[in-house]
Amino acid sequence: MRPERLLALSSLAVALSGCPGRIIEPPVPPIVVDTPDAGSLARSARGNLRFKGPERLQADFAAALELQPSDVCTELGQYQCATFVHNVALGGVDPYGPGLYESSGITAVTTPLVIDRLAWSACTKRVDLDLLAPGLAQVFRGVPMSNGKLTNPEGQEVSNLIVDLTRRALTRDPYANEVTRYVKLAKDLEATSAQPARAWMQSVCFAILSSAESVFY
Amino acid sequence: MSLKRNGRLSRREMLKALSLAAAGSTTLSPFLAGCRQAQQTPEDVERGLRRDALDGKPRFLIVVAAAGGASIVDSFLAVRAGEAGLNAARLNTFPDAQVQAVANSPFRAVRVSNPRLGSIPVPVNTDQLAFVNKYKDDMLVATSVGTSVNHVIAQKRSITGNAAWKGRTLQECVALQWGQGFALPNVNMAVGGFGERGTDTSMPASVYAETVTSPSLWPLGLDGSRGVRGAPARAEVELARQARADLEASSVFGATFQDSDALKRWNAQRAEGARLEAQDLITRLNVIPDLPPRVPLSQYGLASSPDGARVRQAFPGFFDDPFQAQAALAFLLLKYRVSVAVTIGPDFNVTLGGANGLANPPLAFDFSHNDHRSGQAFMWARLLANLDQLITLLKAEPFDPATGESLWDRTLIYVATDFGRTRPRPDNAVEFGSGHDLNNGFLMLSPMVKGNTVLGGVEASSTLCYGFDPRTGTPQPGKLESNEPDIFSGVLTAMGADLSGSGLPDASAFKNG
Amino acid sequence: MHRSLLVWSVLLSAAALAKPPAGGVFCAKYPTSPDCVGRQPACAYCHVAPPQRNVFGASLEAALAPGAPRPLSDADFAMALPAALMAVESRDADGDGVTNLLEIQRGTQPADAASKPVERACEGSENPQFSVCRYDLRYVYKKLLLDFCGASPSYAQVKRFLEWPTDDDRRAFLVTELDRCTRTDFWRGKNGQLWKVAHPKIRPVGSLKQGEDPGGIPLADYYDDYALFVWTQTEDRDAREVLTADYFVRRTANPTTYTKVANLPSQNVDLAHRAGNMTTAWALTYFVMFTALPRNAASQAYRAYLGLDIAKQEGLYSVPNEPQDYDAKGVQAPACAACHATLDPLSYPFRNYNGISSAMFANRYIPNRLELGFSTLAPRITQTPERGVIFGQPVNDLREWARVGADSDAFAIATTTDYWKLLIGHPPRPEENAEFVATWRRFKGEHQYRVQRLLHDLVKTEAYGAP
Repeated sequence: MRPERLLALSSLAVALSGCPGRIIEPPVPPIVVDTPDAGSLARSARGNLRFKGPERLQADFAAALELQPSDVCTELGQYQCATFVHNVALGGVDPYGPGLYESSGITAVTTPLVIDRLAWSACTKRVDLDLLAPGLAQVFRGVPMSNGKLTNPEGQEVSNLIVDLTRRALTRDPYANEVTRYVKLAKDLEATSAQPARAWMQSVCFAILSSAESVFY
Repeated sequence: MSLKRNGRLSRREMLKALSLAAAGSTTLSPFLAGCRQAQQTPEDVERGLRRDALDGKPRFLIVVAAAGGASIVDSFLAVRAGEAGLNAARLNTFPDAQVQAVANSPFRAVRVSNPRLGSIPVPVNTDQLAFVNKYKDDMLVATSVGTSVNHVIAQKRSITGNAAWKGRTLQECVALQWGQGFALPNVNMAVGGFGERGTDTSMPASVYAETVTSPSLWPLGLDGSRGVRGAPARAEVELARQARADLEASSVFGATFQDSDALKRWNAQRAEGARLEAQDLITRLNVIPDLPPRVPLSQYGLASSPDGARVRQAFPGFFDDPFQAQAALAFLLLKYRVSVAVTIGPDFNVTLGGANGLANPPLAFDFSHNDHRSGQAFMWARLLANLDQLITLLKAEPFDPATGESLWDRTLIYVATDFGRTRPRPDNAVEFGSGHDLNNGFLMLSPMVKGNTVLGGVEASSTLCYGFDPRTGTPQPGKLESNEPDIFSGVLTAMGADLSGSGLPDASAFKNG
Repeated sequence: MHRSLLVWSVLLSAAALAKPPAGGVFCAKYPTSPDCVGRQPACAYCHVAPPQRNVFGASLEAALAPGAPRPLSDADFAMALPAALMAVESRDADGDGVTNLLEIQRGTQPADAASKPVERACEGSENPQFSVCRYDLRYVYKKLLLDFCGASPSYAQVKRFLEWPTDDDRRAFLVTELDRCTRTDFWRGKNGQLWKVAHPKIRPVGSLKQGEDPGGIPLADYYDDYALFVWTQTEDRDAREVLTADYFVRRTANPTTYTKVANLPSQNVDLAHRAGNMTTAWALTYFVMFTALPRNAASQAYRAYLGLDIAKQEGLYSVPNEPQDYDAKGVQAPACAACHATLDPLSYPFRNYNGISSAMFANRYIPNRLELGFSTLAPRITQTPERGVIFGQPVNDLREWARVGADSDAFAIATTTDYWKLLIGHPPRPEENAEFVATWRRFKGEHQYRVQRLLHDLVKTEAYGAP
């Protein structure tokens, strides 16, 4: 490799690697991608998906929502969900007590429910923090509301939030059908919820964070 | 009902049966049962290949994983020194008075009193007589010879019969037979070889065990949102889930990995989760009480099980003693028809508690390496005390008001264990260590087993157990070869499982009636 | 009648006996079979639980020296097996539509219908998120960070990654990222990924823990074992030293550092008799415990570090005139001898390593240990030699045992398998065999047993990087 390229790569590597979670980058304009035809997509022949497990889930949920890992989820307000209470259900091991030295490597029947709990907990935490102090909001910001309702579910601000959440959780831009569906969700919640804006923020966050694409890799 | 000689229903009977089935009646079963019985030839009956009536009702298996090697000659087949002749002093025999006869029973009950448990200054004062007297009519002991002295391997073989039926575990067989429609047919709270999955890859995923290592806290994960402070109401949760489901059905990720076993399993498990929620198991299976600030259930919209107080009374150490917590959860899993197979058992860790400060010694039954006699006595007492409470709960729990059956009537407890212990000891030693030995026996408890029965026997001069004919129960002195498939078949036969195509030996001798 | 004789006479009447030579004979005939590259098939290839045969074994039996009286001697069996194998090559024992020969050649199980060669064809047209069926750098970037750093890259990081000028640039970046991430606590810290690899080898029991995080009955500190394990699996270090090290490693936290030390107060074995994690205080406490002949210690080391589980009839290399049954456990019975002819000589070099005992004698090497502490156990116990045999090779003591074991193909295969399972999520599948073999051979050869280099190789495989 040529020395000047090595130098450039090294500099870039330092910039990218010095802070593995968040880096300060100029904002990328929101992008919504055309929805591809799922029926004609090239399929994986190996199908080798792996479940993230308790530590990665906690880290990713925390990073996506600007939370401390220990704030992602606690049962009864005090017992860590991912690394203690539901550690084994999430594919973890428990070597020192019961002597579970290796994970089975497959998800349990209760695993999806536990994922839901983690997602609801983390999303609710971030939503409530941001709504309580809008000036300091990290994620749920810039969406106009009135009397607890979204002022314009089909507006650009809602779309931008969906883009941001998708980028945070799935490291990609959303497809048009995803934006459409989450906008529909906002309208559905308006009809049923006492605080539809809050409920929608929690729900779209939940749906993205607890999706299979988010919890497998 | 009159069956044709070929076991088939008449046309009129068939139409009647079908109309009953269409109406949702469960009375179709007797027709099928009668059909089944008519299929049996006299030869089948003579050979003991009995097929139980298909009553459509589940039966339950509780496997108690007696980890470390629970010796049958330190319990129900104990040998008195006076019976063992010249070898008495250097084999694992007891002073005559410590081996108590049980009236009208082939069982024995051992009484042990030692000031300490090996090097642990905890007194051991145990007596098995009360338990045996109380349960002898529901007890069966079958002698055995295993094939491995490795803990993990032997543990697994005790639940697979050493691959007797394509490598399936007993629990998987029971889940397959009776677990359809149950949310979690097979729950396993043991570890080591007892916690391993079977190797028959043809089994449906639904019969594989759900691993639970924290029985007190595990129920908190049985609902996707209840107890999560600030989570939306149920209706809103379902709207969010529906949005997720709609998008996943056509997602690039989903389409790309549609052939992934992991993703297929995940989607199936999501559907199962809804069933768990619908049964309110986050409440029903929650043994822990509302005890703020340590356990502030009500502050989070949660509650203890309606049976919580009763179960906690039976197992007061549920918070600190994992084995008691497991037994408590096992009862609730059966009571609420969540599972048909549950595995519990002490692990190798020290548990503090109990009357003298120690609830579980290190290595459980394997503490026998250090102090065989006290270790075995302590652990058998621990096991039997918990079983007593568990059976009491099961007996008090109605199963079918129409028949008056209790849950106990439909439950079989199988005390699985790794292996036996070596018999030699220094002359007349009371405190001595033992190793692993293939020769042993298994305890089963159930109204479904042939009660008050020992299959096989023990040769007093060697303290070795000898075998038996699994079909007739005839003792066979001198028979010392491995009989792992017999034990495996015996459990399933006693429960009335359909063993067609299994190739398992005829183990009719285990079955009551 | 003496108990062992009684057992012998009963078991000799068994219809057939296990045949440990089978693996070697099989591999002589099929040297390129994936089951023969660096190893031999286990008894489970033909048996359910010896001598009971599976469908493949049963079909072989019918073709094996037909008419010859049973049981066959080992020599007759070895002579007849190749012809029997040839006779059944064109058949399909498990009925999965694939001939026995093809399954042998492809590394699937001829006795298991669920195991058959898989032809994976890539279907469909384009895919906006994944480059399916070929190495996908973006996919690898995310996987690599999750696997080694414990968290996904951010959107911005992925975007920047994709903006590198060339794929070579991206690959070079992945190299630096892997090296960075393997220095994190997620990878090498307490309860990190390397500790997870070590759990089934060390088999901790919390209530017996000494030192940091003590248990109720502290006997030994297994954190020393984890520290040595991590040390040997990181940086430019020789992974074989997990078996051969005559030093220890101390871990400190905040930040996590591992430091090589000559001695530790928690360790008792003298310098001349140390053999890595086989002779730590924990290993001796838990795997030797109170026993005279430490078979469990030997079998656990064989299983954990060489990937061969004797309890599953793997890695059987029967030694003539063994087992001698010096401790009178009845292991000469035919059903026992099939394994103990390997296990007992494998255990002899452990004979002087003491387990649980008084403080003066616990967890240390004691010359003439059996003579001093176990002389009354059995009439011939003191005849137990210290010389043993591993892979058919005589060794004088445990350190030599460790050397032979560490230098073996089995060690390289086992270590590579550990990381294959960790990073790819399953043991190597038949269709991955070519990549797997190349990887472990490089680990043993040009990479000189450096796990760090192995990891770099692994993430470059299609098994890892192709969605």
